Amino acid sequence: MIDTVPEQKQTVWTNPPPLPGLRGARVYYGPEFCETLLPTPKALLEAYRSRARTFAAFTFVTPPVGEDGLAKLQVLLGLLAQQDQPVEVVVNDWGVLRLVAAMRDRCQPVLGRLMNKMLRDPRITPRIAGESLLAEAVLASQQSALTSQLFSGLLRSHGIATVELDNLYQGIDMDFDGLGLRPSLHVPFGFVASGPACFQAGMHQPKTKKFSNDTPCRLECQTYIGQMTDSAAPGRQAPLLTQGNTVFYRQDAALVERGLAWAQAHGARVVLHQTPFGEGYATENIDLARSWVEAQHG
Amino acid sequence: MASQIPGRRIGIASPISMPEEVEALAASGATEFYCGVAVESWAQRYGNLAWLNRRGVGAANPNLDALRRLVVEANRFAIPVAVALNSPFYTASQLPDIVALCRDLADVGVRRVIVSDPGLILALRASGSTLAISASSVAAIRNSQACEFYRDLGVQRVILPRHMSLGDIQRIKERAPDLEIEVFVLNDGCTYEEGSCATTHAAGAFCLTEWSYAFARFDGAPLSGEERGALDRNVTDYKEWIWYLSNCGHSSSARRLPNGPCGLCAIWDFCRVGVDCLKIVGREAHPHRKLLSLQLVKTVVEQVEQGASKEQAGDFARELRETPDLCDSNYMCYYRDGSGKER
Repeated sequence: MIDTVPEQKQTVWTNPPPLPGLRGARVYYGPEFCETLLPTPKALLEAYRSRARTFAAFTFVTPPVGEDGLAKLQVLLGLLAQQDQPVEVVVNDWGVLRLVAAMRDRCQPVLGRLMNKMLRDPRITPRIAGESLLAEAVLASQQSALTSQLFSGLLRSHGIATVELDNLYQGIDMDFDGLGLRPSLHVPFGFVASGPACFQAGMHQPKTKKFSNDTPCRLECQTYIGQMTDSAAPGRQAPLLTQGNTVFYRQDAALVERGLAWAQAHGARVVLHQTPFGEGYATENIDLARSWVEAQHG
Repeated sequence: MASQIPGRRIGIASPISMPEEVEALAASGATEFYCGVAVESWAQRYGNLAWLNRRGVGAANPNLDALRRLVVEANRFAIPVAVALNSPFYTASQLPDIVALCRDLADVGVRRVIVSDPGLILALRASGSTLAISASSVAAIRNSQACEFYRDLGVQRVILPRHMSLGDIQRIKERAPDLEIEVFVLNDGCTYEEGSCATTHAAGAFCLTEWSYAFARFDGAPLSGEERGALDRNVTDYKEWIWYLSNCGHSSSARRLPNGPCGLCAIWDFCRVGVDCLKIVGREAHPHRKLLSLQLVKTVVEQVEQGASKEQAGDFARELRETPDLCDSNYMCYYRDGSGKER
């Protein structure tokens, strides 16, 4: 539940305006990790219309949901299905996929990052490629369930053609052409862990209301971000960020460059983020993505 | 007050890791057992980078021979055994080995596997496996449409994840009535959603790490004293919450009953809405802890079955625990909307 915040604030995201060169990109709008942040129907339509003036295409990003979120999404997806152009919908919940698949002629489902399970733990992943680990273990860490023809066939049967990935320190080794799927790579933040209990929402609540699946929200995630360090293990510091209900790793410059080169080689599009939680911009133009990341993140 | 609960009985799934535990757990009210399985060849191939079932080989997973003896023992009490194969995913090259393992599991009398990965479910169906399948909590099935998705894959039961509300559990049961529903009732909380956690406990539990936090505002403005105070208090409370999730620092009550995440107060509601089974967590726990956990749950279930009202059952559960301060914190509750007392 949103607590004491006017409805229109739900449309406020933390991103500054994108670089002019991104105006032809696809915009990613919607809360990838948090059901509470689902927009109202009015906010969604306003976002859809306002961004249509700037961006080439619209992707609605959806989070894992409970029953209430499912009901909200049924309304929101119904609205999107009535628009002039078909939209993409990133799904991070098998139930949401079921809804979207039923209207796939108007809403093209994309498998979200949360659904593509891979090891993202930055305490470990930067060391995998550099250590003499078991070859099969290393390969398993570079792959996911997508490699199963049964699994990828299941996705295709639900109308999924594109799958989302994080840019991983250990690398990605999957034959997407062979699987009939197109990769979409997120840069420069990857998620590490997420859940229904919001860490930051607790800051404005009495102790007994904190860290629950119904802790009232004042959109703290739109104002604050925290950096996490493990004081007990200074030798293995990972660049971790906590925002809202999710922890992210920030990809270093070398990893970003590796990811962009991988995207170019595999025909992947790149989803660019100004902040871990905010709007994203997807582009197939890797040079453009590279210059945007350099300008925004140094 | 007369019970409003229909006559059907709710099951209790107890964790187990060795045959020697069967008799005591059976005598204390377990109606189902679940465990892992250790496969040495898997561990040799994948080490700690890809655990077979979210536990390392040494972490209370019986090998196939011990599992066979465990099932024989369980059969003496007509208690079915399920095996967790609940890694968040398996790759194409891993699936044939797991399908072969499932044939071995069926041969030793295992009745059910607990699976998260849809790819494995499909592979089992394609192999002609007759094992029943529960969708693991790792699948993060939080709504009725997700239940339908897994039912369409061939799952008979869904183990709902942690962080569910009683309201959602009830609605799921109403909207997916042909699926069995299992819910968490005791022990071992989780900071995040298991199915949305891409870390590995092989490097130590990410969520139990003593992180230090440095906060900033997105707009670049310095934090006010009030903001800094609220954020610092939040971190302190967060660390306390994690202590509760970690079984209250692995503590026990004065009567040596295990402290930790708890849904005892919600059992009345679970019975009312038709939940099929209560899950006690802790495959790797000490046998004594498993036994006491089971006795706690069974005692409250009996109260409900004997006609206790919701309030009576809640009061009974709290008195049984003998830790009102822990209960009143709210942080120990699996289902804060189902606690016996309105706080």
